[in-house]
Amino acid sequence: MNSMDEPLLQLQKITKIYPNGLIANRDIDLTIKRGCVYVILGENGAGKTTLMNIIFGLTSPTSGSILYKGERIAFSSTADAIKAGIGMIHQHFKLVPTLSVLDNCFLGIEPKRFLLTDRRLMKSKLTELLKEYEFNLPLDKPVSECSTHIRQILEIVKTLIRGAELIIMDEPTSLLAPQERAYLFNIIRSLKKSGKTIILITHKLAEALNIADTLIIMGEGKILQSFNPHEENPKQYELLGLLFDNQPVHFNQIDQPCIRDEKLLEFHHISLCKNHHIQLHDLSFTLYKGEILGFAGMANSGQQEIIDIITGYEQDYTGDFRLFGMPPDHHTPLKARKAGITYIPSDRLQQGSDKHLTLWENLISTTLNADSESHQLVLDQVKIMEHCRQLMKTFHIRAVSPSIQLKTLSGGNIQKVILARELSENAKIIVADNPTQGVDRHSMRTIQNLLKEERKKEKSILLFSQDMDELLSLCDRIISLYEGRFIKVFESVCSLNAFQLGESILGSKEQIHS
Amino acid sequence: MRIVLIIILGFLMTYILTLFSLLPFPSTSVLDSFHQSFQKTNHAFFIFLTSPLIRDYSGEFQFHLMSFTQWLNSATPLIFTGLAFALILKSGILNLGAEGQLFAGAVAGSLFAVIPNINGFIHIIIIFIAAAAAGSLWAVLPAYASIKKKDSEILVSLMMNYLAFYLGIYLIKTLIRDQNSGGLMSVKFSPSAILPLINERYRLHMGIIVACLTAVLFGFLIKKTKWGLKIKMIGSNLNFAEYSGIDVKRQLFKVQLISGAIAGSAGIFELIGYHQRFLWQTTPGYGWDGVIVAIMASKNPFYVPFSALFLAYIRVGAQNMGRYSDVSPQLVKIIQGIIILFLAAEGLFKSRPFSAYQRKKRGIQDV
Repeated sequence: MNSMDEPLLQLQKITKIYPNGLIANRDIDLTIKRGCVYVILGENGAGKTTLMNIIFGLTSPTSGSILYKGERIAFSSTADAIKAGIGMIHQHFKLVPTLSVLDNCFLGIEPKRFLLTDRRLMKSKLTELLKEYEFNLPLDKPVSECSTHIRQILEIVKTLIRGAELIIMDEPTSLLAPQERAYLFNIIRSLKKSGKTIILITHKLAEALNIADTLIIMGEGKILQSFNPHEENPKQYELLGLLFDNQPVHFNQIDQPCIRDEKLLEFHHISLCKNHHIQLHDLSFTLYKGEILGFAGMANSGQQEIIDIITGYEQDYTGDFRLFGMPPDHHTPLKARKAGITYIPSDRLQQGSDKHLTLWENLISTTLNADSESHQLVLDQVKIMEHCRQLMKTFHIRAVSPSIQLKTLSGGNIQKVILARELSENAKIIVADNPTQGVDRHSMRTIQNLLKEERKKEKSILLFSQDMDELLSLCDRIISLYEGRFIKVFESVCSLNAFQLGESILGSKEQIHS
Repeated sequence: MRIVLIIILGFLMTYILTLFSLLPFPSTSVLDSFHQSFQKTNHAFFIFLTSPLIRDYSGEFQFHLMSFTQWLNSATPLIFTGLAFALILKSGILNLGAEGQLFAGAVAGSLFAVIPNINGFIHIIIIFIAAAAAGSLWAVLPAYASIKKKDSEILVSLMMNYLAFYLGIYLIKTLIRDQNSGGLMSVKFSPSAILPLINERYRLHMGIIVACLTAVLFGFLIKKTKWGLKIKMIGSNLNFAEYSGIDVKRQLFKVQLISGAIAGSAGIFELIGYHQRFLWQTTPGYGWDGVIVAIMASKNPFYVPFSALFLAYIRVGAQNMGRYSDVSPQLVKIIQGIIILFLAAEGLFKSRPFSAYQRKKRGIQDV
């Protein structure tokens, strides 16, 4: 039989190339030993999630082989992976909110007794498991009434009850409050004690150092380094260098610095409290005409909340928000648009566009509101088509014609469609939330150049990004965010490099434990 | 096309069902009884499928004007309610109040129709305005509840249906009841309120023409105007519509009012055209049929007249079949049921770009 020393999982020369030519993983060799906690760190697009999906059977590798418990395997679906003892916890919970904790736990694997579900067996099995790990779950409460950390535990219990030995967690802490995070780490430790193996993806370095037996740093689809942080005790800045400094930094190449004379948008001591959590904490900043103001921060550090206030989705903040020197009364998305704020959302398929509509319908959607220039009732097809062709040309949208459905376009092209619509609108302020996330290199360059062009036209841009290089090469000033607070305001970018920036957004150890 | 396949499937399954239901008790051989049953079923289905157009006049086939008239007349309200519901579905809400709106409209129209002689055409226009306004009014509360108070518009609109029915009956009873008649019906409408008839004998009224014109008008509104695109966008992705700066709440309110107006004027044609008095003692059910019509037309106003005509055709056919053969007219309910069932099962007969297996093979990730 298998000895305990034998590795649980071995990846050999795993390469994954997506049909659109994107190389997500190249030549990855990785050995996972039993009973250890592995933490994978890396930028967005480093290939972490793809690698995990390969292990979990969600996608199959282009080449390479996977050995699980010494046997060569090729999972054709996640069901095979679950059967083999691999569980995955996704970034967003996969739970049925109306069902109870107990039902969610056994969903799909309910024990049968004649034709009925054997609830008694379910309950006894679950209580046994909970006792073993000393968890506490309200069994009969519907999930919708449970707090986030209960849901998180439930997700873990779900994988355990299916007999998982290897548990993959994709950014499990991004939705949790600091105290809940500490609790999760305790759970991970107790899982480790009982012999489970855990692979955890995170963005936060302090967390990683805290929990990892082996720290794996990925970048551009490769494993850059893997080591034991407790033994080698590396210096934090060395890691940051690995994480962010593997490419030459483009220094800000904007010719003229902007003259800060006209204030377009001001935040004075703005705080926001939602769902009993403080989302934003006493923020103040000013956006001047003709500058690009960058916000650096890892996912869910308060970016969405700032955007919601500016674009009119969120009204329940405290503090003083001024637009063009005036406090806006009853700010709504429509009024924000009328006032001259355009918004490039990060959720480009749900909010920024509608994939079921055609390309031209997506391109003219913002001209439909009551106050747009043309008051004609009937859509002038000829004019619209001409307008759309023009936009397609200037923004390099590769599509056959304006009347094709949007869902046939690639991600990069859809992003360019959104940009074309928003930038053609002659606004004064452009709010861009991760405009280049998940698009290919070529589209990324195009999009960045377009934003630079807009700056030359004396427009102001608020750029929220998780790509440090992008911020450094585009912005006049950068504000770093951590858990809804401003950590530092970098007034000039010239002397700044990626790891100084990275340091301030990752949060130090003290901040986690406070 | 998917819908044609489903209709054929519906007929086929109904045919087989009828065949077995007509099977006589096996007194002779099995083959014989099947033969008998086949003949009966074929006869019934022949009447069912052709009678709205053709009549077998002792061996000689003639155009059947009476059934034809019936067909067009009964299609009229279905087109209106179908349009009303198509509009609702297009905007992504589920206001099921068409039945109540129709009843409210019919009652309001009838109240105005008994007013003695107003100059010709003006009277009819007044009646229509009253009916549409009443239907619209009946949509206000569900719309308000769903948009402002975030209640379920389904629940509120369903309850409004009962309110319309009992309030309507009460108004008819107390205000314009015909004291001389045995049943509950209104006095005869005044002559100036009667819709011009195309055919006097069978009372083919011009409702069908108005209905088709309305369908074309709304088709144009939905497909070609800014307003139509707004509605489509709201129905397709609410987040995107709001993000684009569309005044979602106002548009949703507007859609429900307009849909109410269309549904409100659906019933009045039958009353001022065919019956020439108010005589409904239960709700006529056209509101619910509108749901079937709209779904069959896949929410497209241009297709609504066709799907309404189809539904009316099989209904009139089934009535005739009940009269001239051993098969009961309730058969049509089975066909309706099968069609709705299969239409609701959206995946059926639909070609997908890639099956789950192919997607896996090509390495396409589910989003």
